[in-house]
Amino acid sequence: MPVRLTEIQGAQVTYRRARQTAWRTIGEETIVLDLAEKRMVGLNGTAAFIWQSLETMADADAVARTLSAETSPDFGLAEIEVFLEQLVELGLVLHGEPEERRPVAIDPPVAIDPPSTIDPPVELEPPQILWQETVEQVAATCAFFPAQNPLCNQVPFS
Amino acid sequence: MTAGALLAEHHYDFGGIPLAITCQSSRLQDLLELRYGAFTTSQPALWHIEYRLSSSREPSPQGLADGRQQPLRAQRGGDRLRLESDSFHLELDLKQRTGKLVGPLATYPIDRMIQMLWYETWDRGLIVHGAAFTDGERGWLASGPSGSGKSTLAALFPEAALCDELAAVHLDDRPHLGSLPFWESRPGSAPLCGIYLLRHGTYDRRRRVGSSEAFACLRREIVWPIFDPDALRRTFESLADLISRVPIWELAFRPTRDVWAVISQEPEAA
Repeated sequence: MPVRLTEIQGAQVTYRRARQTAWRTIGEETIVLDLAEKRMVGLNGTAAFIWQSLETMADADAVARTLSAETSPDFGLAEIEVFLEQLVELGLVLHGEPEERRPVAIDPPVAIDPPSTIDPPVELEPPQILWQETVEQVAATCAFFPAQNPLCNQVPFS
Repeated sequence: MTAGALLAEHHYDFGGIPLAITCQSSRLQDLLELRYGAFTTSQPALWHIEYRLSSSREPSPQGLADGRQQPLRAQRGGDRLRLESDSFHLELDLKQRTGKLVGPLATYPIDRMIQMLWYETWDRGLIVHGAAFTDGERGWLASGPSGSGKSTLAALFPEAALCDELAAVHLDDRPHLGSLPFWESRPGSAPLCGIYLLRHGTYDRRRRVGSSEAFACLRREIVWPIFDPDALRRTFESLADLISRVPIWELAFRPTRDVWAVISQEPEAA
């Protein structure tokens, strides 16, 4: 039986959003911008909901519980873990400090701030990165197009 | 300064940035006049830049397709910002709003500098790869990749075109356009009433696009200030705001003046 990421060495693997990110929901997508890597990532509704739930450090179980409280997802913890690890690979999410597993009897559910701006997904689709793209500097300048216009010559008077 | 050299100061307003450029090369002064003369202003300058020619820095080799292929390196420390490419470097004092540009006898370092200064000056707004138009009261932005028809559209309507390559969008209480000096351009601004995503067509028509589609198209037509994470974040948020506040259409058009009737339609018109 494969070892779940959340139970490595008996400790909870926790996740938190990297600080150097900005995000906005535009239409059906939530777009996350990595300010350090200069990369944009588009998230579907479920992924966006999970993204927002990482405002505070959380583990995959807690994310799943939050999601289940809002909807009835037809995907499991494994999909959530895979998605979280994809975010880690992209540098958008960091592993938090592992917490020692405390006795079950006093282990309360991890509290996650309720989402304030992203509604629970209506469609019960697995979390998914829809696209990713590097932010490039479009810097058209006629200096690079000497044939297109007399003013575009780099050294017009030489 | 060498004996006999004349230090001249030129004042311009580039999309809301009053800027003074000093240089002592008469050849560079001629080039500035040729390229930016239409944007001359009598306003007091907000930024003061000295342009020094460097013989050791040759112009970028021809054949570079565009600025994406010429990497820019940025370094920020306190109030100092340094931008360097293979052929020029710019050092800015952000507090004093002064700078020194060292580069070849060419205008592309100034073009790059204008973009940088624009983002350092304006908190809310962005520079879009597009042609700007106005009928005197309303303004429209026509955006799209190279070959989509921006210059064609500007050439069809020279009386309405402000610029055909890059335009500044200010997101104050009411979004408005400002022209920037690239390719064909003249100073001007107008309230931004709509954005058109251009494509060639067999007849003139426009189709309102949703937010996701608009973002997918426009994100590739923004001059992203990748030199500054904070400016990058502000620009990202400005683009999201722009899409939520300004109607955006796809515009298919034939290259005739008939398309103006479609461009200047009211937003709610079919």
